[in-house]
Amino acid sequence: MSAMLRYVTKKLLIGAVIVILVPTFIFLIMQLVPGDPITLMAGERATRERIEELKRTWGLDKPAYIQYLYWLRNLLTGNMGYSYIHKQPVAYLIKSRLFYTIVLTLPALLLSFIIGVPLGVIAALKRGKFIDNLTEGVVTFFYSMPTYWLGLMLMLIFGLRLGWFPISGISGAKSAVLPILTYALPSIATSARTARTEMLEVLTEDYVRTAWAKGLPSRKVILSHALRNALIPVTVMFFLNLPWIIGGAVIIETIFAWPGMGSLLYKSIVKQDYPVVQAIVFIIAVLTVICNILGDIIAAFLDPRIRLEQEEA
Amino acid sequence: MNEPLLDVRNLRTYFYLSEGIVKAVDGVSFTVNKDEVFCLVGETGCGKSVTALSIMRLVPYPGRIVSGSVLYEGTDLLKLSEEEMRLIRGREIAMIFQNPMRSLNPVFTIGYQVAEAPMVHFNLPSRDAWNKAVDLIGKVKIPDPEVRAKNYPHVLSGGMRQRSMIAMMISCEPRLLIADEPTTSVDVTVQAQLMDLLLDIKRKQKMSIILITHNFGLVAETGDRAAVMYSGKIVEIGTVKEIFKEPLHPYTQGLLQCLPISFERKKELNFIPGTLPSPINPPKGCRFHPRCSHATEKCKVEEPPLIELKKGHFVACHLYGG
Amino acid sequence: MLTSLNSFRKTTNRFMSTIISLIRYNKASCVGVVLVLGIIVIAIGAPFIAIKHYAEVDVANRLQPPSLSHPFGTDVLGRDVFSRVVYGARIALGVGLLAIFVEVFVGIPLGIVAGYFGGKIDKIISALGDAVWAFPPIVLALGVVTLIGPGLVNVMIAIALTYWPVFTRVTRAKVQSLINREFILAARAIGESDFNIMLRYLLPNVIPVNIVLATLYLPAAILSTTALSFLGFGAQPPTPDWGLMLAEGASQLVIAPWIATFPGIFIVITALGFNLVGDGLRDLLDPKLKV
Repeated sequence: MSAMLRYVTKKLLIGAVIVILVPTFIFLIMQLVPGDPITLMAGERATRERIEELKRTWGLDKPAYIQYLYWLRNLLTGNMGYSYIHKQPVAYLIKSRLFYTIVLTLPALLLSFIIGVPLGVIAALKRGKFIDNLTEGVVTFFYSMPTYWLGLMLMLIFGLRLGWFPISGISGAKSAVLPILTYALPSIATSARTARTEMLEVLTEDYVRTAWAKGLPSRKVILSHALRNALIPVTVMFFLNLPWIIGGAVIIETIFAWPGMGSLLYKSIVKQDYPVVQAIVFIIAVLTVICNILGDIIAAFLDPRIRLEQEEA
Repeated sequence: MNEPLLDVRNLRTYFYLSEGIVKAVDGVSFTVNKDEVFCLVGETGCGKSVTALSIMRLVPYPGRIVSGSVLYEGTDLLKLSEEEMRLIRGREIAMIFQNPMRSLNPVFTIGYQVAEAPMVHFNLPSRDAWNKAVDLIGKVKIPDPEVRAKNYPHVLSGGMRQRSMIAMMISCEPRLLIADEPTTSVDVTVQAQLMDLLLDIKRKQKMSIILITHNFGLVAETGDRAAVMYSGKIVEIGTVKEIFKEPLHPYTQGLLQCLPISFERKKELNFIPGTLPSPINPPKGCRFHPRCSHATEKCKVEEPPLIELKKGHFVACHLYGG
Repeated sequence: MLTSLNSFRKTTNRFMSTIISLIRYNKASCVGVVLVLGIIVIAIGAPFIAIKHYAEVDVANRLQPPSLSHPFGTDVLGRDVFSRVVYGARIALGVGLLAIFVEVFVGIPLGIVAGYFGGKIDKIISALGDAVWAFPPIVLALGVVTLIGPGLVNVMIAIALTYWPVFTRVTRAKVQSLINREFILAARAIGESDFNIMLRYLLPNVIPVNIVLATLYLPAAILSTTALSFLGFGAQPPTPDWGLMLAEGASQLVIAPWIATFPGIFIVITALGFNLVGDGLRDLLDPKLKV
């Protein structure tokens, strides 16, 4: 077990290093961005003094490296800067919107696992039959669909024509249905596809044949021997795909006028509100790193081969 | 008493591929007696493994057993329900496979995997099953069985993995053990040990073994009777002594001549001319005729039936008036 | 001169036979081939198939529902949606293909270098690739577009920078499986330079795998580029980019849903076609790519 601990610690350390490198990288990139928020804020007829004054307020008159140190220090204390546009601390902005993004993403992720994986497994077990072909067809269909179009069509059919659900803004639980659906359907499709592929792969493995040869009942062979192995890559893929799903929030929240972090990111890019952009990209980067590390850890936890590799190392 | 343990009659197993139908096993008949080592010999692809899988009814998709019967102590296995067959697998008839690394589940310990069959077939509580597993692991001559039982397959050597497989499969004391090329993926020294182990178990548990192999040396050392397969058909059956002393079928003769065992230095190695026939479109008549130096016109059109030329010695060849 | 003609004919023959095996393989890939050919025909024949020019404005007839004279209706400026969709095929295919081209151009060399040299170079390239790949592509692309500005070409570059790791990873694996083969060892033995080995021995062998991969990821490239156009960072009006049309249609969803519906359908058809063909190609040529 101590090998596990060593493995986890090593991964966490690497993660910490990356987490420090990322903001540096982002900061550097942001310096290269064209466009001057100060001029935007000041307006067209601003005087020189006004511009200098604004620069001082926002700390943009100091040389770049000092700005960087300030930024880093602020980050560590949870201060992610001030939004140019909203005139509020970025941290505050993000905090108020984080909840809404989670409200959308969490159910979608859960659904993709709870519905998608069993669907894929069943399709693999009934290979070649109707349910399998149906699943494959539906999966490929959703895989070829742009999420924003799915969102718009759902809005059109269920929101406008049938009037079942509101199509924008937040007005009670009902308004979350369409965005969550837009999120969930493609995720379920991808999960099902991965689960099916892995399950099929495992079912043809020699050790499953051994299990049959021992005369074990089919439930034991399928659930205990086959599924247990198939779920390893499926679970790891789930964690690795998490950041991608979060990324989808940008488009979905924008379409549905959902006040989450995704739409905030979009608006901030358009309005050149760089502190906000920086902060959100940073958060996403950290999240990506965490998800990858989690994926590695889970893989080691589930697969003795990886675990023991560390022991010998 | 004289009733054979296993009686395979006219077994046909075909694979339905998009390119065509592969007749992997096409009318195979043989018997296996109690307490004997029966060898199924032939080159790769001749259908020996599929025959074994057919007996166990483990033929993978897209294959299917098409016709024939497999009588085990009088009962036709092919007519049993899936649940009835399941009770036979592992308990009465067991099978060990060629590649022990891939045939062991990487996420379960050896002990667990050995304990599974007795747990299921005998309804043993897990503690007893585990103890039995440790016991079996010791029986197959793996040192330190209590420790080893907690290991995962990938930390063991090839020989130990194969022994674990053996332990798994003999755990319920089956009457018949099918060993599909059990020694092909291990070193020669380990090979000898494994065969000794198998024969030892055979003696102690009064078990018959169907040994599938392409290694004639093994056949000579361990076999009682043997059948030679070619392109999905059996071409010769007999006691091992007979087959080595007086091989009847030209293919058998060719195979034995190819063995580089000889005290005189030969100039070149012998070989059988030609290549293996396509499994989808085998030659008409006798399948071996394109490569046979004794082929006649009859051989090209008519398939020779398997006839008993001498007591217990069968051959399928027109040379012997088939 | 004769040899290049011969190799051209050989390549065409291989191409044709691949298409035929695809059609025969299963229903899905057959459908895929039909869809892909259809879209290609539409793209090439756009000026003949379209009814009007895509930028032709006719404000008097704006927001008309589908009718005989306007099969897909008209948009907010009275432009014929059908014609715009048809011309949009050119943009979708063109941008998608170019994005793939850049990805391949970046990804393959990196993959060959990583696989061939191994060691630290490999570690750096692989780590870079993994880092880029792990990050949500939309966010990454948005980041790039923020830096270099909006526009169709920039979007193409942004997307290419997001998806190149796949090509690198696969190429690297393929190179690793090749470097221990005799012909590489032989080439080294006769003193071939590393660059020559990579160029003349490794490169031709990694191309087939990458063709399959390109077909598999073309739909993703098209979906991503249209997504960025949808957000306003890609094509600018009056370009008949399907994503842009969807954005325009979104604001008119209540009164004129056809503006958003039809371009989307065509995006799905295009992506679906290439996905089916890609799956078929992969099954036929290199099932190990089932990632």
